[in-house]
Amino acid sequence: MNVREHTMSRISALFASVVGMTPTRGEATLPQDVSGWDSLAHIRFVYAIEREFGCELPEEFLVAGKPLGEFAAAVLGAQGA
Amino acid sequence: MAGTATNSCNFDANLQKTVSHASSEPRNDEAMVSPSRIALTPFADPYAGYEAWYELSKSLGRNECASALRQVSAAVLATYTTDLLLPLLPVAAASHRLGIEVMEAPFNQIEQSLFDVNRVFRTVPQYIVLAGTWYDLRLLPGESTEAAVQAAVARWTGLWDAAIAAGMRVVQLGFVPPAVDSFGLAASAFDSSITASVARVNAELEKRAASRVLFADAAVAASIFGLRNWNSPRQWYSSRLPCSLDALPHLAALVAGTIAADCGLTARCVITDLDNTLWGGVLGEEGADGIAIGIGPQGEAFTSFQYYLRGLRQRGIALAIASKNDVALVEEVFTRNSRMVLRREDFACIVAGWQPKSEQVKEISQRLHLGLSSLLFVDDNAFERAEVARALPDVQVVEMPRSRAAYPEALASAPGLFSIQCLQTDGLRGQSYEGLLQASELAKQVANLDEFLQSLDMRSELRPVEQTSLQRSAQLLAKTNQFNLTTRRHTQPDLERLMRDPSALVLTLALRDRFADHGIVGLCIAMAQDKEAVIDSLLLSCRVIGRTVERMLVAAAGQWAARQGCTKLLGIYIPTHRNQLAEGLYSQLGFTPRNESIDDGVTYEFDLLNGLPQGSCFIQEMAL
Repeated sequence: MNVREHTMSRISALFASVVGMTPTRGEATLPQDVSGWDSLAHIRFVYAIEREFGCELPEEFLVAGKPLGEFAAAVLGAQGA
Repeated sequence: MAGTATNSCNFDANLQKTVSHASSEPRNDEAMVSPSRIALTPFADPYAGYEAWYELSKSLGRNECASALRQVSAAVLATYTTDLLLPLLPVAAASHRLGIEVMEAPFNQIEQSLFDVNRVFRTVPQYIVLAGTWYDLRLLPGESTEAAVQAAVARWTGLWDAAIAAGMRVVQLGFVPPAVDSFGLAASAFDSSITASVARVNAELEKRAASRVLFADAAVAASIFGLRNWNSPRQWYSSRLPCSLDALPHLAALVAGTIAADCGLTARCVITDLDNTLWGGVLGEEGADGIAIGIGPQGEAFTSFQYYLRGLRQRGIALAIASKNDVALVEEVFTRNSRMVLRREDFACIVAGWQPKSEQVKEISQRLHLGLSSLLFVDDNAFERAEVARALPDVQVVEMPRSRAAYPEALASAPGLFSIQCLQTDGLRGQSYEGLLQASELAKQVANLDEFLQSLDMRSELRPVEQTSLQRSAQLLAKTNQFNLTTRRHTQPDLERLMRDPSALVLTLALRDRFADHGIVGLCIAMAQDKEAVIDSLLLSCRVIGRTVERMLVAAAGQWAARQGCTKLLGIYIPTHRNQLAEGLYSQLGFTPRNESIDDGVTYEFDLLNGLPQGSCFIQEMAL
């Protein structure tokens, strides 16, 4: 598993634990695909990612809207990888 | 509900599991107590972070906490989003053994919600928390700083009036300053800085809150946590969160602590151990001069802890000692060791001996007439803490850190020592506990109770409740369990309504005797309707039970009822598991039981046409 895949799997696990559901469309999953991915769950999701990876996501990720897959790249970017 | 074991609740077990306490290293003697069976006072540490608190809030939702001593409803009206904060309030409240039913209110519709309470809320919440952010204080184009400050103060104080009129108790949160100010570290010296504006708004709100409104100083809470960690501009821009997620537990603790303290759930007495708690070393081995206090890193830490405790006493919290020591040796420390900060007279009660600590604590509770749930136990020894916690689950037991230097901090973050604006009468209370003890010493010397009561030289002052006594009266209604005939928890807004009601009497009684000025220790509420006046509430602080003080209140209620044209004075006794000692009161005072029940209580009547209830021959009424 490469770094990106590994990061993605950790993010998916966080997503499942915070939102309480598995992402239905994998990396392409959008907030409208998962009923529990509302604005409050999103704040907790970002908080969980930032704690897990010890980084701060770019501001555009703080509001729900990006597909799940983009979070892996954002984490790696924020970590300077 | 009162007196329920704190360990009977599933939620407490979860708290213990999830939240790490600042705990000392296990000792050998601790091994005999299984940690899972130790009933510690539940304490959710705000420093555990948002995630831990969020998990706690979920488990709290599933397991109704059965250990709450009080239950209140509350809503938060804020200029920020409260969705993440609200679920944390019951978690913070559980640390105080307070149940909070949180009522949701729409985001940033403060005026709309307050002026249309009945539409927004199912029932009117008992507490309303009002909160803004420093972003609200930014100047409009052309506006002066002074105008902005005045506008903010006028807005919030105007909201207080609306909330009080609707029967709610207001908790006003102070504003938190930003971490960054154009004027830099000197910002507070410049009137036009946002930091200075925030400070002025806070000072003004705090001043005007006086005894009407509870002011919770969020700026202090934030500065302890750290302003940079508290403020989170990106969360504000993206989600209108007032602070970072990890600051939310601290905000929740501030709100819940303020309400809990207002409900009278904070500690009234701190019971402390001696060896390695008040000083370093074992007194029995080192001797009165050999214990570590005042000198060296260890000794200085104990000195600071003694200063901290002395401050608590000045705050009106009684101090007591529970120690496994020779009592003569303990007395010797106070007379011989000049480095002691705390003096003998700082302690309302000293129990030293070889009986288990839980028995010592029980003895202190009896001698000071304080309920177990109002006691806070401090001991460096984890075994002793566990023994007290297990035997007396109502007593709040503080987890002590290994480092002596961190003792004051451990107590400062104990929920039982949360403080709100000090009542003026609280200072009197510490003095009164000691007077109480002197009085009970006197009781041993005199031949009979009458002679004892006579020798106390008691003087009472009866007054209708007024602005200055309102808060103390509400505190008595909230706190009194034992000598309380009906245990009706009327709130401060209720009292304000009754003050304006010509058919109602709210009477306070202040008492002094030859040993102490006890301040306001009694309250009576009566209501007249047609030819009957009913004593709705009658209560005495536990400090003055057994002194015939209640007769003064009933006599005054009788006089008032007669003046209102009533021919009958009714009294009600509603039994709880704490107020048995008041059961026979009305019969003793010449009332006769009626064949009717109110709120599962017994009703008594006194025929005013045959005379008025008599006061006490042991108490002299001081003229107004």
